Amino acid sequence: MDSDFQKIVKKIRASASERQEIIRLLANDVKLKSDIQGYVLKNNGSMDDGVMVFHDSIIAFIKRVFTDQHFILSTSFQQYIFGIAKNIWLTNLKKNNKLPVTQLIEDSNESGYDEDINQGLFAKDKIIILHRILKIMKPKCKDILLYWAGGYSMQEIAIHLGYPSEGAARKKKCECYKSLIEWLEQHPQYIKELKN
Amino acid sequence: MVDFFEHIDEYIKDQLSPEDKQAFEAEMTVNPTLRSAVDNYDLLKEISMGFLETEVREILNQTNDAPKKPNNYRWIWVTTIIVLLIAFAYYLISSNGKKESVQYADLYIDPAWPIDRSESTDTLSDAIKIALNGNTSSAVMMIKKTSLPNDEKNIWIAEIFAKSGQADSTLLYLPPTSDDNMKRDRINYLKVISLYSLGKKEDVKKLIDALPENTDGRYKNIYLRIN
Repeated sequence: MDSDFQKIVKKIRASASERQEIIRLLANDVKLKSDIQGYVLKNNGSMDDGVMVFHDSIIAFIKRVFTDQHFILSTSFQQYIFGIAKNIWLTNLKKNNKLPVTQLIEDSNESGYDEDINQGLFAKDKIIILHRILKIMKPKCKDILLYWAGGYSMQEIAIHLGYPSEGAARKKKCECYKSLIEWLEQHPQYIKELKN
Repeated sequence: MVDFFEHIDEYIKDQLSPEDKQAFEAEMTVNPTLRSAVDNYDLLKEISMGFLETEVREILNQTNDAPKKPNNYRWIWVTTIIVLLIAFAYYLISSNGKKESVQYADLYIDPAWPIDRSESTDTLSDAIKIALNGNTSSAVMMIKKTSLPNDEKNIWIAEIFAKSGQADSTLLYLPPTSDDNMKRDRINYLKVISLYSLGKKEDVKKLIDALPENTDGRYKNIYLRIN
């Protein structure tokens, strides 16, 4: 694992501000973006599709690094993100019946990224609901629930978010969890929509 | 266990002692929110992970290269603008058309209608009453049958047509002029507003320019408005 990647991983997991710094860095990676757009354009896509795939790839990468604490890279992170992009686009083409399945399998294997990345991404209507939830959530609640959902222990959460003890982090997480479920109970339509 | 919500993770992962698990499940039977928290555990985790996605998307969208909205939206905008432009043009055209008729109504002044309020029968008076009730053709027929001099008949027929806004017919029945200044001014006035409502602005201008100096002030004011 190269030192650049180590730094990136550390920042993505460390705090919201450091994570956002990395997201901006990736968003402004002109070469990565043009490689992904070029690939999409060569494969029946438009410039807009290229941007969409570029964004989804960054999201998938950040999610993976944040949640998988044993994540190790055998290539550069740019190559890895490009692999995600190929996977996303080929899955998209398959979904829209624009690509023979055999070609999809060959290209997926070539990219070295064989997960169904689209499963981890939210559809647009669900993103809208998430924004509504975020509006009523306290920022500290958002952070603690994110780390909890990312599989971090209460001890790790306490360290990352600056709680004096594991117990304090647990108490805060419990309070936030309760407030979220209470809000959802008052808005059962969102539970239904999110589960669909 | 003091707060059961603090132990949801352990319950889900089956890490509670048998006693604590029993207490937790007993609490769920009386605490619907706790029950819901357990039932929706995976969803809450998914929502919480979604916070990361919204955070990343927000930053990516700030980089100014977010994918443009689908063309459908663009077409909706284009269609909306075209519809609005058509509606605006239609409004301009129709309001322009209405402008003249509205102006005619604004310009029109009733004459001193010869209506006899008594019970006696007077054909002209009856005809005018009928005309003012909207039955122009019957009124015209009645006037034509009266023993009035032709000029007199024609003036009242023209007045009836003018009242109902029939400019062509008004002009048809109007005598060229009259020696009586009052009648002369009225004839000129009816000519002007009839020509104006027909859109014959050049004729209106010529007519106004040729009006006698001593034309009634009421009509002069109207001509000023037209010009």
